[in-house]
Amino acid sequence: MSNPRLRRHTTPLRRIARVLFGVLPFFFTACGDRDSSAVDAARQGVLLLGNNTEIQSLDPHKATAVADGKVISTILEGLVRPDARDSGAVLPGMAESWEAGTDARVWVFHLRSAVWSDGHPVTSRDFAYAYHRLLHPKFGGRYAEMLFPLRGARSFNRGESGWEHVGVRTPDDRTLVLELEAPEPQLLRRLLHFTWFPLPAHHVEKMGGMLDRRSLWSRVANWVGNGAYVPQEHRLNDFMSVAPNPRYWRAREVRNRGIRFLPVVNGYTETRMYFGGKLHISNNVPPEMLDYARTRAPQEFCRDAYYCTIFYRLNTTRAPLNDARVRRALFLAVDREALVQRVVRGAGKVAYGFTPPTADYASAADVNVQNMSQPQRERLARDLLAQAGFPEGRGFPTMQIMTTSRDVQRVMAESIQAMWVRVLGVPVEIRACEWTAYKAALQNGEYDISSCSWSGDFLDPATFVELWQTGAGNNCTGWGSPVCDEQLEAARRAADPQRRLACLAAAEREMLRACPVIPLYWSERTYMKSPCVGGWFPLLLDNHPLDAVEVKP
Amino acid sequence: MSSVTSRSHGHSLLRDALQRLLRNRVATGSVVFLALMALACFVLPLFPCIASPNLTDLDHIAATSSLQHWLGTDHLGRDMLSRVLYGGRISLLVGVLSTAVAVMLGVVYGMVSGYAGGRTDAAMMRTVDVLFALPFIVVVVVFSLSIEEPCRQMTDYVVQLTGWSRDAVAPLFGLAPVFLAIGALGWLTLARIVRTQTLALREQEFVLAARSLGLSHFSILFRHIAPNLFGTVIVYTTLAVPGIILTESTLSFIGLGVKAPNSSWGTLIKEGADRLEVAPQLLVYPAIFFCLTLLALNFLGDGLRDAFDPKSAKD
Amino acid sequence: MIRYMVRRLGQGLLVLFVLESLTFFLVHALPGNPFLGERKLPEHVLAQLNSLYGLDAGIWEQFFRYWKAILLHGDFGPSLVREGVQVSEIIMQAFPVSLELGCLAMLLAVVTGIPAGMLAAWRRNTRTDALLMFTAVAGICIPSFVLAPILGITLGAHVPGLSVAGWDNPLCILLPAVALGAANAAYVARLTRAGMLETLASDFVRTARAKGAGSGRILWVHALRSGLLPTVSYLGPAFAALITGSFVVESCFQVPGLGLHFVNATMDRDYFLIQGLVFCYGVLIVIANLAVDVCQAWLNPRLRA
Repeated sequence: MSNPRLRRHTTPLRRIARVLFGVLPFFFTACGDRDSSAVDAARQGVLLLGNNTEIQSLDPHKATAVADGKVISTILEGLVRPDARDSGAVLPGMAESWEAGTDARVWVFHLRSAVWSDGHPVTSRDFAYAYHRLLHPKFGGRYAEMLFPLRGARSFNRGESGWEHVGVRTPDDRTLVLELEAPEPQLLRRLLHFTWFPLPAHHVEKMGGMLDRRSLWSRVANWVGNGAYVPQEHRLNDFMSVAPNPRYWRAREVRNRGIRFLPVVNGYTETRMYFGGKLHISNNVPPEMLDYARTRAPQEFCRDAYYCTIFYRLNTTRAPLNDARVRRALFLAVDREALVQRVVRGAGKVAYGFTPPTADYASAADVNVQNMSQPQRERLARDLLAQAGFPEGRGFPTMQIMTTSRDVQRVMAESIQAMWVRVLGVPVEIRACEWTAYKAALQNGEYDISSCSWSGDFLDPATFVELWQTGAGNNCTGWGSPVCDEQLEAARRAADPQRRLACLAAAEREMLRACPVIPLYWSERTYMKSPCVGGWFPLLLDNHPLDAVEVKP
Repeated sequence: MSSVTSRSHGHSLLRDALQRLLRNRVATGSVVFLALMALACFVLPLFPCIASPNLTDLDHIAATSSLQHWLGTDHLGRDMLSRVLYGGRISLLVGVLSTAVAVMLGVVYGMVSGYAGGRTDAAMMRTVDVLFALPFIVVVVVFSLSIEEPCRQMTDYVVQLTGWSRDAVAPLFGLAPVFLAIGALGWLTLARIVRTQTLALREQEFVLAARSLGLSHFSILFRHIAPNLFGTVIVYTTLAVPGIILTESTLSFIGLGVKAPNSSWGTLIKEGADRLEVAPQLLVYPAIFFCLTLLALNFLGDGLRDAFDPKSAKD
Repeated sequence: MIRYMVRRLGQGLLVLFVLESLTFFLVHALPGNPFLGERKLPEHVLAQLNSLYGLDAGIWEQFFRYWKAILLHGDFGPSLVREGVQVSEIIMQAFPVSLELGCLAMLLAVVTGIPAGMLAAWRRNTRTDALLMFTAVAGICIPSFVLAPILGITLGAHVPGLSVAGWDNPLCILLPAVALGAANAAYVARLTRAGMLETLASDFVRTARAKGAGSGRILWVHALRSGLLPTVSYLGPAFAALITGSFVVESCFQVPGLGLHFVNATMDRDYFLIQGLVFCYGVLIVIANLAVDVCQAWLNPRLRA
């Protein structure tokens, strides 16, 4: 987009001089009837989208953040692509058609004839090349585990076996065969994640080869992709813009003339920018501003369900949290209704179970607990704590709630602390940590209680339930149970989707009974959307196909 | 020379200064105000009419003033007046202690550097440059990590020794790393300012005279140069206090400083600023307390400056 | 003078060396590592990444390697978080932004602060003085995290041409510059007033007055020169701090400057980026302080060492 108003003026001296010497009064009057950036961009058909944080990399094998995923999904396309109205559905992408073996263990994809943005054809080898690279033990792919459903992928990634044992085959340029470790009826949903996207093998090879982690192939200037857009300009902490890719196979169906991703970390700034006409769609309205945003623009305020759980991890290796009764007492003493309505200002749904409910998976929460009144739950909590040897909290050691420095988390911790003190009489402190110190303490198990959230990478309850396998990398609570592990294993072997979900539910019920975590609420995304945006629908995974979004002046 | 004469009447200088200060109505008013503020923060919360600062009431969030809550309630329904007063304790403590650390270090360091001159001066000032350019957050995090354990042991020791409740002792010793960190990095600009002033002063006639009288360096520094620095130092100090108090709030957001749910003026103002559109009173009340206190402090500073000015003695 | 400056620049290099080395050990003493993700990283992947970026070597080896790269190739290393981007690129992109913002803020601070301070000193203990100083103290008391959103909501949202936040048109610079300059203007005003009072009471001004020099001349020629000494000492480091950006102002106005990188690099443990930024800051501090000392020598010949 060659929009002179959106382009940056980069010579500082000239700019200072212009602002300072006399032009200032002129400018004010001249700009009097000037349109806001959002109106301007809408006229050009360019979408201005709040994207939370600065992206790490455009290389799908180096990226890990959600913000990166949103950009990458516009400039690369996988075998399938997301549906604009349903996170559970998939549409044909690079694959024209596919068939699964009877037990969903072998999948054959037939690729369409599509080209990379430099004109090279997209072949099945580009997919195999990408999986080879991400899994390669010498590459150090941080998200390699996303490909572990592939047969032999885990051991190849650990350097225990060769690439030839991994279940990826390319009988010809247009056919890709994926052989899986276990039946995977939901494979297509997984394939929407950017770790499953292809790479332009010819280009990556030219720019330094498969294992060159410092390769510059993914820089804006060198980019070759097969997505609906190509990167246009990237300025750190300012914006990342993409323009339509004329060689994209559906280029005619792309509904806008480009996207500008704005990495606005500060939610207050972002919301104010939205109202100041700097954005079409914002990323997040912080809880403190919800009431304001809701009343100021009720039509533009959006609140969508999100595949994300807010919960507290309990360190079950530390006394007295190693006692399930104590954990359960803490679980019951939280007044979730008040928390969601008053503290989070309605941006969530009360959760007694862990996995967010979806069309095919109901919550595994204990119905009895759910149906009790809060005073009943509190009475039960006091009884349990007394049974555990701490009547009215007497003799209970001081516990610490560890949070990050984010305001939402701190305020939530303050309110929960007050609830625990009021109901159980247990002394609780709050320990705010800066981000990396928090992650380190959590992963090393150096905490009592920690404020956490978990969002699914794809629509499948397994991404939530599998956390609680004994010794799993992200369990971090020290808890484990053979019953839970058995059910998870059974789910993995089940080819029948119904049976699989039943096993997962059984595993989750077992986990909730032991209570190594305290589910609080299922988060909802709160953001602003301008009336000039069309083709944007609520999606549980927030994986909007941005080429389907329309911007009208 | 003013300084030489004042030396012979050391006591009367102080008395004169006090008299001049008392004659200054703005300065006296400021003293009274500061005393009342300190009293309010440290004594008033002991009376039962002030609610507990951490008692939440989720049914009455961000309420405006009422008979029960004079300044309304905050975003978790806690009594605002009580939070502001308790917050004042922390902020006043941080303000006084950290500033004291910073001023002592800065003045002595700057004077010595400026007076010594030459290589010593160069070495001392380049050290200041290095410290000034060190990334503050990194230093504070590393510093507090290394001092956390000693502070905890200290708390245990004090609890054992005095038998006071842990809750009363812990906040103070928990804050010790913050006082030290802020103070230890807050003196750098002051040191530079003092050093420049000293450089200018040491060549002046009264210092040369003092030197020719054979006075020791120590007495020249502290009896002749220091009084002449008083004005600049007091002005800079009163200027630096708001920054120091607010730094505490920045630190409390990375887990140092006052621990939630306890408050300080800085954290209250920050929380208020985040809710500017929804409940501006959450910003206004703590900001009023904060600004009034600092205004009083600055006027007192001006008054002191005038009162102790060795030159104004002749007027 | 030339010899003095050469000597000072030599000292400056030493300052940079000590600063950079100290920072090196400090950042490695921070808990966590740059590859710590939200999800736990498998041991072998972490080991692979560490060896790729040379973080598996002993701390001294890393230290020497770091200095070798700088001295031999002028290479500050790669960013560990934004892989594939060099530290120097990040700084080159953000520095011009912070530079223009900082310069404008400084200019605002100086052109409002110094005259205000002089006026207050000249009209000491009058209503003008009280009003000016009241404004100054208020300016210092209002922290930037309060001033910035208030400016954005009031002026930014309503005055045509100004913007709430963002960096997409040339006028976007004004409000952040005001937010950044306000506290400094107040400092400058207070320090100037104090410095001027000090000099106005001093003997040489009395002499000048006794000789019958007009009041305007006294103020401008004699008093201003030494009255500005404390202000100038303050301005040097303040200027260096201003043009390396402020996290609060940049995050409130979404300005793509150095301040955001400073805090984010620290929070993400992007070792090389933190060190690159500190180096940049160190260079500015050295230059600013040298400029201050030269300025002071010019303002007050007695300071010429």
